[in-house]
Amino acid sequence: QETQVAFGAVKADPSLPVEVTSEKLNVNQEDGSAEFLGNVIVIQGEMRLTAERVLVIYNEDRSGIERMEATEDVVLISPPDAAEGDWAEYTIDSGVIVMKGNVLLTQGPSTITGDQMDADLTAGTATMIGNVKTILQQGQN
Amino acid sequence: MDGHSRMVQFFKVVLPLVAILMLSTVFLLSRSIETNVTVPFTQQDIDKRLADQVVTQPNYRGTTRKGEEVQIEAIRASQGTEGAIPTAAEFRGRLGLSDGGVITLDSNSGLIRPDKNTATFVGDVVITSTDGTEITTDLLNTSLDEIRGDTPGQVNGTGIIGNFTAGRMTFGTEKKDGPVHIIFTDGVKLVYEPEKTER
Repeated sequence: QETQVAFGAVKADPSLPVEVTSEKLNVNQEDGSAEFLGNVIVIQGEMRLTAERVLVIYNEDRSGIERMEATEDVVLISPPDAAEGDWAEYTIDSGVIVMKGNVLLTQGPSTITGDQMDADLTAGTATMIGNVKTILQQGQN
Repeated sequence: MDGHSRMVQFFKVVLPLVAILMLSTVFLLSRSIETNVTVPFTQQDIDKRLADQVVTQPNYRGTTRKGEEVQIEAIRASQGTEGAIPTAAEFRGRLGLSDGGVITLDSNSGLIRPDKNTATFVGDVVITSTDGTEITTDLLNTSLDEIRGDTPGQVNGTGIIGNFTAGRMTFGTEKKDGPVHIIFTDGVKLVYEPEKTER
């Protein structure tokens, strides 16, 4: 089943510059693929995506980056919400992040877990798919 | 003697005189040739050349075990005497990878050590990778018998991936006979400007 939640307070702008910092960047000279390794942090506007490995995939005419694939303890922060999962894919132009692999989304007191989360940063919404469980903390605030 | 024959007699004398006069001035008016032409090399330049045997347009060409082509050329190179090591000006390198990709290297000066199988690019080194990324640094060491190299210092790069800086850069094959990788280490910082997408 599917649950739609708001994600992130401000609507992200996909044309903002993307900043990536990491320990290493490995560029394969044969197929031209590039991969950031070692606590990689991807920042665009408010959004922060951290992971151990981020692979860069270019668009067909190799004029720019189409999407980034993050693997190994991926954490996505779009204040005030945060989500973590095994794998995430961020398509820059559309501002859509797809997260897979026991995704855990924390929103204030409540946490939602599921198999996959499609977050649209520009619309500020996220859809959790696949045995979604919501744990609502009541009462303490 | 009528007027006509007197005129002929007169011209018989005057015309040869004029001819002799013209003939003699021809040699006086000839172009003066430059006798002390200056030699294009200064004396000090000649001594320098003789001292360390300067070679012009040197060209090093080799192929690696895997058949990749390593080519290094310079405008001017001086062979090292026992004290100094061979240095070259306007250094350019071209590494032809086995899959057809080409990495070009360019720097102000450099030195080749065939005995150690290394070449070093010094000063405003520009490395252009196979996908067109341009990497600049101050010094780059490369080996002559295989596609391998590293920079001790910081590198800056621009390309389709964006503009980035890194603490150090090495390039070479990771696995034996695997593809060549350029690896930026010691901290990488990159900024990518997405094209203005029409919203």
